[in-house]
Amino acid sequence: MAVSESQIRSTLQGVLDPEIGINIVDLGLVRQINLGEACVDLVITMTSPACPLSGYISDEITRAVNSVDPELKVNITIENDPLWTHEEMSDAAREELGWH
Amino acid sequence: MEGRSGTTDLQPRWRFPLLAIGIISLVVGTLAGLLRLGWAQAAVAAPYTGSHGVLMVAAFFGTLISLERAVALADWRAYLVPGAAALGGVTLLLQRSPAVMHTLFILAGAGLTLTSVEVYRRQPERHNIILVLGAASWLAASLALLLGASIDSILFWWMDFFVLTIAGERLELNRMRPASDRAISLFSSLVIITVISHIATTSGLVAQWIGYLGYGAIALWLLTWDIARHTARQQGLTRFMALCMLSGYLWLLLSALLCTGVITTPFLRDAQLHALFLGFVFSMVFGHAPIIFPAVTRLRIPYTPLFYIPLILLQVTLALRLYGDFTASPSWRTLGGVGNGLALALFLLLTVATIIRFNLPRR
Repeated sequence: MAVSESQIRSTLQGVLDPEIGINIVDLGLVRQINLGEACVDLVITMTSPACPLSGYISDEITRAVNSVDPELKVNITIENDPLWTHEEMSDAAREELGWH
Repeated sequence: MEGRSGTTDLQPRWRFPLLAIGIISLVVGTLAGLLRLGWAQAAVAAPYTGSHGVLMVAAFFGTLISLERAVALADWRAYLVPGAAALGGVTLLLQRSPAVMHTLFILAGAGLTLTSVEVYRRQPERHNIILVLGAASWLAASLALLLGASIDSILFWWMDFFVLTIAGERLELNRMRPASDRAISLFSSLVIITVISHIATTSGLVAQWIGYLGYGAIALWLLTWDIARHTARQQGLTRFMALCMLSGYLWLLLSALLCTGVITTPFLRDAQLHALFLGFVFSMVFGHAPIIFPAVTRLRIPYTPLFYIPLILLQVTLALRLYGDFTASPSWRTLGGVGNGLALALFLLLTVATIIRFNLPRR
């Protein structure tokens, strides 16, 4: 079952940062989605290099993507350079958290 | 398993022994505490009644917190820190040389301080300085114990280990919301004042009660500005975590308020310590377990409203225990303490049951 990059992005909007309750796309944690033939390469960041949840978030991402396409191999790279800032959040997330 | 920056992370299966030693230390430490409260059924922990604090703080939490930090750094070298803490726990459980045990905890405290400095190096922000101070507090306590200090004299360092570690993590999380610079600066100042007051208290320069004022101020700041006030309005796991945080902040505040002398009882110190160590710290643990255990073990622990049961049981039984402290009633103290143990046991059983249900292959 072939999925598109927009489908993957939409699926990832179902993956929440559990501490905040906002999805990782709107939080600005998903930096790149590169869809290949049989795999998808994702580059994500965490809000802090001291955050131990990269494995948890990665597992949730893999489960979410494979719920749409069970055959798609999911490769995840954690990137902390540059460091995440609140400016990477979407307008919806910023609105929710009171930035406007 | 590739970590970040080209280093190699430790495979999850190698983390289980560290976690297991930590949990065994928690169980034995809890039984030792119950025996101290007069619950005779915990007699199996008789050799450890004098080690209740070391088991809980250094062997369990020292291993757990440094393991969490190592997972965050994703570098195999960082796992030497929980390794040292776990070995310290094993040394204690096997009742071997106290000097070796303390030395291992010193190495773990030094290691956690260094890994916290590494976190600061990667992200030079105030909240990471607070994490360094928290780790250094554990190191200071461990050094003092090796040099012969009494448990009573180092309690503020143990408490700082928790309060500053949690405070640093909350300050990091609060970057999600537009807290004013003045509020952030106030929080940082409260942390500095708290640490300075504890140096003065431990040195005998000022009275013990002054050391609690910083905790009270930190609790009030968290109750006023922490993001948990916002996320408590959400659903599911996010709401559960927020309610755990907020209940913990109330216990921290109570621990501080008890120093005002409004209540006089021979068990005041016990009430202060357990409001902080049990109410504040374990509320945090219950709230974060559904994400930290999966992060460390890579096993699923999906949220269930059943998680509220041990949380509520902890709050109720701690209130009973403190009632026993306030009224100097041994029976209420023991009943409350046994209830605390039951809450911890239920929390562990529920976690294990959830792991089994969602991670073992189905037939």
